Amino acid sequence: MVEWSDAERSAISGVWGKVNIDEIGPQTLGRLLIVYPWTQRYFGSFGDLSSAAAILGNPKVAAHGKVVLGALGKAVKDLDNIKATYSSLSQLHCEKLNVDPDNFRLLADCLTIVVAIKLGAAFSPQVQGTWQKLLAVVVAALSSRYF
Amino acid sequence: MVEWTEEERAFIQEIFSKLKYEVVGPKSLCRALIVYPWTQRYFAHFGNLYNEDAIMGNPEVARHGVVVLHGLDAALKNMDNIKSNYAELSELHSEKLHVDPDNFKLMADCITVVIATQMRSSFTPAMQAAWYKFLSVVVSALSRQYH
Repeated sequence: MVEWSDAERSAISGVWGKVNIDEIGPQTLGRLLIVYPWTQRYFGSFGDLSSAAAILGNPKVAAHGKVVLGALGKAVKDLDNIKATYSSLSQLHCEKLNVDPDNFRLLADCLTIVVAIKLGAAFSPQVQGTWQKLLAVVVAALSSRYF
Repeated sequence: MVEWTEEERAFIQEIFSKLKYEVVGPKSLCRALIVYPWTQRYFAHFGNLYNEDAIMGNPEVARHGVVVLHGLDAALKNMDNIKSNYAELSELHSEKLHVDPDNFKLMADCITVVIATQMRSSFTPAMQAAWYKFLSVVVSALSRQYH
């Protein structure tokens, strides 16, 4: 089971406390679709994704970004049970949505960039290390029902 | 051969015009050593890397961070033939330094996060996409002489 030190727990809640889901969610999903354009294949029903401006102004992208980031909140609230928390979401992504699990890591990378932009120097190396550990555990949990 | 749009070239130029090597270089290498601690194995001769404060205060790390970042200059000067400019550096990293090429990507990610913390919201999604492409080409060029 994943162990979290008190310093790590504190760093995570420090970052999460500064994350406004309504702001960070849309930015993260927007960056994913722009920086890694093949991910647009999963969002054919979202309408106009033809340019960076279209993606950033697309209301379905914004709405879904909030959904995705809200789901990350579940991990933050229960750090000791991340694998169990994401079991059904993992099955959903594998069996229904057919998402290549490599994409979870790409979304995590985009979220890290957005958080770095938001926090600036407060996103210190130590905080980044802890944050990436959290995202790695979430990505592993989301991938856990694939096989 | 890698194709660059005018917009992508402009983004890369803009990032480099705002880049302070003596700030971003040290911060990037420190992040790599802290967030991905196994990378410390390549720098045993740098003295004290015992904890995060030691790494962030270590003058050899700072000096070498600047060296590594200047390694990107060759790509900036010759964006239409990045591959040709890294043959020697690639051989050095493979044959003399024995660096696992996976680490190039980690270093690239750390540079990107530091740039994000410095440029904040002017590091737009479209700019991030161009930067990711630029670094991917450099990482690929550095990996070429390995086999």
